[in-house]
Order: sequence, then C-alpha cells, then structure tokens
Amino acid sequence: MSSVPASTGSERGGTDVVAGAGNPLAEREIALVDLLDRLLAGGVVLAGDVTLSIAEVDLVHISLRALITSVSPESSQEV
Amino acid sequence: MTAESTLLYCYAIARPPVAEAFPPVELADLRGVSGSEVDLVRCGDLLAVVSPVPAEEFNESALYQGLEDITWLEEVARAHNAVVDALARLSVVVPLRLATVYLDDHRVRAVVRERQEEFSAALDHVAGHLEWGLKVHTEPAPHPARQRDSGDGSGRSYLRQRLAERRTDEGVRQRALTIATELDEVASARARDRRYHRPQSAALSNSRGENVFNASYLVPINAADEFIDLAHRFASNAENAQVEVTGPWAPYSFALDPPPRAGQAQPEAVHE
Repeated sequence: MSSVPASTGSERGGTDVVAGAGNPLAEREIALVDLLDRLLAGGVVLAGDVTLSIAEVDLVHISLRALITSVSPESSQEV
Repeated sequence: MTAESTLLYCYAIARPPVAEAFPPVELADLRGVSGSEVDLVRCGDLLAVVSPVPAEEFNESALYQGLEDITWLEEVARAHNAVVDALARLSVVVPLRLATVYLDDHRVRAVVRERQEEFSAALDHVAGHLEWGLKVHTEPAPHPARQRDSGDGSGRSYLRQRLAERRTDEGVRQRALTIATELDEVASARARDRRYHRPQSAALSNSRGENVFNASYLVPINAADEFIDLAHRFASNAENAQVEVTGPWAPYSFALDPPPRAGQAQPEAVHE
C-alpha cells in the first residue's frame, strides 16, 4: 500500500496534496516539525542584536530538544 | 540590553518595487508574533518586514527560555510563518530565520544594507517560485507475528528469527531509498533548486514508518500543478513506501546562499 497521507501531525487537513493544488499558500494546519525544518534550518541567518550569543547550532538544538521532549516526555531520544 | 520596552522582530526581506504590492490594508490586518502589528522598514533598496515586540518576551534570556518551551516555540513559529506566508502570497520575499530580533530600526537598516547584494541575489533566485516539500517514509515494518516456538524453542531459533527481521527492516529501508532516489531525480528536473533536510525522527513526524528522505524543491509557481501531479503519480505507483508532499511554502529553504548546483540525486547523503 502506498499513499499520500492526508495529514501529518494534525487531525485537520494537514498536507493534503489535493488541497494544495492550485491553491497557493492555502489555509492549512502545518505539522510543526515540517515548519521547524524550515524556520530553523532555512531562512537567512542574520546576526540579531538579541541572539548574538545564541550560536546557530544552539538555536536548532535547544528547539528540537523542546520538541522532542514534548512528544516523548519520558525518553531522551536522539534527533 | 537597553531599558527599551520594545524590540523589532524581523520576518523577511522584500524589494521596494513591490512595496506597492503590500496594500496598507493587508498589512493592517496581519498580526505577527505576540499579536503585534506588522510594519515595513525601508533599508536602501530593500524592505525589512518587522513587528515591534515586547522586550521582556524577546530579550536574550527570554529567548533562551522560550526556545525550550514548546508552547512558546510553536506560537512564535506559526506566527512567523503566518506573516511570511501572507507576504509571499503578495510578493517576492526572502524569509529570515526564526527569532531574528533587533534593538531598533536603525540597527535593522544597518544590518540589511550590509548584506544588500546577497539579499538581491536571493530575491532574484526565488522570484516566481514557491517551495514544495517531499518526504519518503518506509512502510511500517511488517514483522510477521513471531511464531511461537516455531523451531525447537531454543535460543538459536529466536536469534534466527531476529536476524530475519533485521534483514526485512533493511530491505524495506533500501526499497524506500530507491524510490526516494527516483522521486528526487524527477522532482529535481522540474525544480529550479533543491535542498535536503535531515530525515525526521519517527516520534516527530507522526508517521508509522521511518523517514528516509526529506527534501525541498524550488518550483516555478506556474508549474506547481504539474509538480504535485508528478508526486501524486509517484505516490500511487510506489510500493513499500509512502510519499508525502507538503507546501506550498514561502522559499525558506532557499534563502541562504545558492548551493552548489544540484547534480546527482543522493538520498544516501541524508542518512543519519
């Protein structure tokens, strides 16, 4: 069986291919993990005034740790 | 840290000729992180899209704490995306990384001007394109229920069974990787650019199988339907794997320096 799952990480719509077709940037619930793939690993890195001392790697690491902890509180699983 | 009560959160960089494409009404309706208003800062030939945010929520120590707090992280990430998404619908933007915060608009101008050429090149690169994600997961391992004492019930028969299961897992993974390689090849042929992301851990991706391939493609807006159809066809023909499409996204994964021109598909490179 192979299929395009109707959703990832959400009960609502998710990332349905059909819903996205011809409907750029349509309203949809995005899986947080897909969003963080882009917001933390993508995007231009400018040295912000505030985050000067937060190394890039730390930013990703800290956030992913938070994400993983939220998913599996009892495990200290590798990303 | 100064004693100022607000900081400027930066979402993205755009180009002024399209500033007229941001009707004040659209901007006025938009709410950014912390429910803030969205504003534009002119930086020479470019525009920075910003929001005034409370310093107590976005100063350094608050950011450290916030990033470890999944609720805060999710709120900010979704708000950031909502703004970038809305702008990408109206115009060409280059998104910035989450939590890029400045003391004031003078600082924003200084930093953006310094990298003006890079931003111009990036805007040229993504103009007329949006990002689509493709992921490939293995089919959940079909371990046949362990036959109860199929052999003599000895340790040896147990080990034999475990070994067979391991081989099955590896076979399933290899088949998914083969599909990913083919998919990547045809998808890349229809995209201007491509980036590989780390495979997602099973716990995070909410998938039953293992994520073996996770990539983004920069696809011409007018070729999006074709790209989706292609992925769809692939998904229905692929056996032993699940193909998932996400998007369209603002071009997050293509905001950095242009990569070495994607030549060979190499999903192997995404192994943990």
